Amino acid sequence: MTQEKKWVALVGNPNSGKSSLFNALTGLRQKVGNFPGVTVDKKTGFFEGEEGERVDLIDLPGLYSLYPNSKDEKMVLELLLNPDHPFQPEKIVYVVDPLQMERHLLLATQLVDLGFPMVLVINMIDIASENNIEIDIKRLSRELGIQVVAVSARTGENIQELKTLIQQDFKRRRKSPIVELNQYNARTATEVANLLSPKLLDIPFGIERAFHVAHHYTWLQGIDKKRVESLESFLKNARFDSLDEQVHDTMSRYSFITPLVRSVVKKKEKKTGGFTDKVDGIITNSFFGPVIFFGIMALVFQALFAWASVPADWIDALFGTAGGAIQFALGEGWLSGLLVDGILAGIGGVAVFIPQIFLLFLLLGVLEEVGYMSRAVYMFDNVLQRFGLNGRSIVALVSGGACAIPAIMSTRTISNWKERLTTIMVTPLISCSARIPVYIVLVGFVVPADQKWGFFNLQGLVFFGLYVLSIISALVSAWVFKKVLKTGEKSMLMIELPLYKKPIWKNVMINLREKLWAFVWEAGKVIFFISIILWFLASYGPKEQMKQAEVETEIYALTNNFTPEQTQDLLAARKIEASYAGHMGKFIEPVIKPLGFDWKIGIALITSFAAREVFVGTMATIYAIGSSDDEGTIRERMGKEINQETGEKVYTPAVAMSLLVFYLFAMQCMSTLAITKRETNTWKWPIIQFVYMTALAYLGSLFVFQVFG
Amino acid sequence: MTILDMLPGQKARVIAFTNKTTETNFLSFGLLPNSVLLLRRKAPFGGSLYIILESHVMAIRQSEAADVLIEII
Repeated sequence: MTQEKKWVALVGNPNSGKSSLFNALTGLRQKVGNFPGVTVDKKTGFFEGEEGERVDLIDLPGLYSLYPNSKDEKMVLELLLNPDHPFQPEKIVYVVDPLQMERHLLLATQLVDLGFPMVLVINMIDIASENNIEIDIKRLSRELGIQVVAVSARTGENIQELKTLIQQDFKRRRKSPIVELNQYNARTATEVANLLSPKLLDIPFGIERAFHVAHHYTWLQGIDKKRVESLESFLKNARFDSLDEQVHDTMSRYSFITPLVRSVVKKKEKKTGGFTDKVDGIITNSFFGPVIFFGIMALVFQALFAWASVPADWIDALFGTAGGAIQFALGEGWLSGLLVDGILAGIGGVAVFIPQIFLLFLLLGVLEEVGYMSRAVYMFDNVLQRFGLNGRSIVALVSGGACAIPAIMSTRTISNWKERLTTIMVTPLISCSARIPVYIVLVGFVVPADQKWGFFNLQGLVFFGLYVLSIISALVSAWVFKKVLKTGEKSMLMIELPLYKKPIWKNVMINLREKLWAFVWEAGKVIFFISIILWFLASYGPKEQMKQAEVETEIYALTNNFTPEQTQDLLAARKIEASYAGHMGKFIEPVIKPLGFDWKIGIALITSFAAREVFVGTMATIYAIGSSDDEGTIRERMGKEINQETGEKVYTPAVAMSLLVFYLFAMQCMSTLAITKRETNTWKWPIIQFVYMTALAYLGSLFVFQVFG
Repeated sequence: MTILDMLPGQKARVIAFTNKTTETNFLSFGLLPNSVLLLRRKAPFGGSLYIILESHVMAIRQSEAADVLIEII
């Protein structure tokens, strides 16, 4: 196997502070592949040694043992057991929390016994000394047979030493495994190795690896069908009981670990977590718990509107000035039209919403980092189960408020397939940050900007209402999926509730940077191209029809004594109607008319199927071309829009509400469909997702417009 | 007697498990035979259980709690 990079993998239990250590080691030199369509969890990075040599690190998802439940954990096994895996690590840096030594050493001993060169890193050593815990590192190292180092990712203590250590060859004193296979299992493992690849028997610890394959061959990739069949019949004959052996292996390991931990970890006084327990007494209280949860969510979304509008105005002004400057420099013409009305209008329409998205990612990131989200999992498990979901779905549902893509990926921690699939299917109904621009533009047509209702801003309340509606629709859809889907698989909760800790700001910021950049870049790319195409489609059309529009306008203007300004407005409006985009919009107009939408909105609906945030850019492009007035925001332009037939405003409250509902429900994000395809391994589910959400959108809008219109 | 029979505030020692799948998961989470646990509280809406072990805190479902045989201490 040619392998260009030699990977050093960070492995550890969830909540061991592994990601903090990864951040401390690599700083900003990390990447997560390309956002949509590529794994977020395969987080890689590097640091440079003293002589400038590059050390590549990979941060693997946390897991508790080599007997995985969820997809996340299975991925780690895949990477460790398959010698041809491109990310199989050359070395392992294993991270433990000194307060949880016993539990965290279970996986450590399993990895030692797979033969990987490994160092044990005791992280959060600062917290250990705060808690008066002393650890006999020398002895621990001697007993495990590997090097041990104590560091603190929080304070940076010993990080440099760890870097130096990682660059050297890891010393290993142990030639034999910590827990040896008994004779019977050794024989089974040898036969498994023979069936898989006899080479395994020649490499150190190959037999131990083969034994793990015996546990996991049913789902491990890279084993062909014939081998799976022969393994199956052999193991059946040998009466190999995977669960029995797992229990046996784990218990043997604890009988090594428990006395070891007792002898190396010295606690001067007992009990930690008094603070966490007090906080949980309130935060997960039967009454206050849910109240606090919804309070926090309401605050998060109020904050978006209270704090983000000032920087948003700056960005708006910046784009306005830039457009003016370009127009001044280039004069009128197709190039300045393309730059200002096409690209700049499109990009600016979305750039304005960066402050909102920044805040949303920041606040959700902090909640995750302090440990609040696992409390939410605990509180809502029972309720969510009734809707066919898992407590863990709350993480996906809440982060779906930022973006459905990372949210769908977070479902990998749900081990039950039906619950996981249901979560994936309904998460895109939660209003994501890409809908925020659409909502902001439209909500002004439903309620005036500065109207108050007591303490609350009325627009803020409408927003909150939209989010509540999106949550309700997600739950109801989940309930329907629960009734339709069948499974006999066992469902699990079992979750660790980590101690509350101060957020490490470096972690929050690195996470934030990563997500924000992905959003801006990915959304920006799509919007950039769609804006150019759209500008072309809206500026040009079939020659005769464009000509005819000009002639007719001229005659109409002459007979009605129009001022030059009025003439120009009419001309622009007639031209866009005659353009290619106009034809597209008109083509679908009969279908969307019952929802209260005209052909201009139709154009926006078509372009929005790539990505919903394109709506604002599309509106900006259409109305920039369609108006002689280059001042004013998109919303002002839309507000002036008059229906040619009735002479009334196009954006009545009913139309705006109907549009809001459409964008709330509709599946308008190609990236999400791509990720659903990848996570479910078939086109069936993304297609179902697209169809049911679009149907919901159409019917919802129809209802709203027919009732309020 | 299982964890399900415990009242909030009671302490118990784990004796054994009645389901192997649950057992392997509990073992990975550090809940072993002879472990001492405290049932601290129950979740809102009568759902999951908040239990405190020697070194950490975890939440489990009632169905999972029913698989753990215990004696109150």
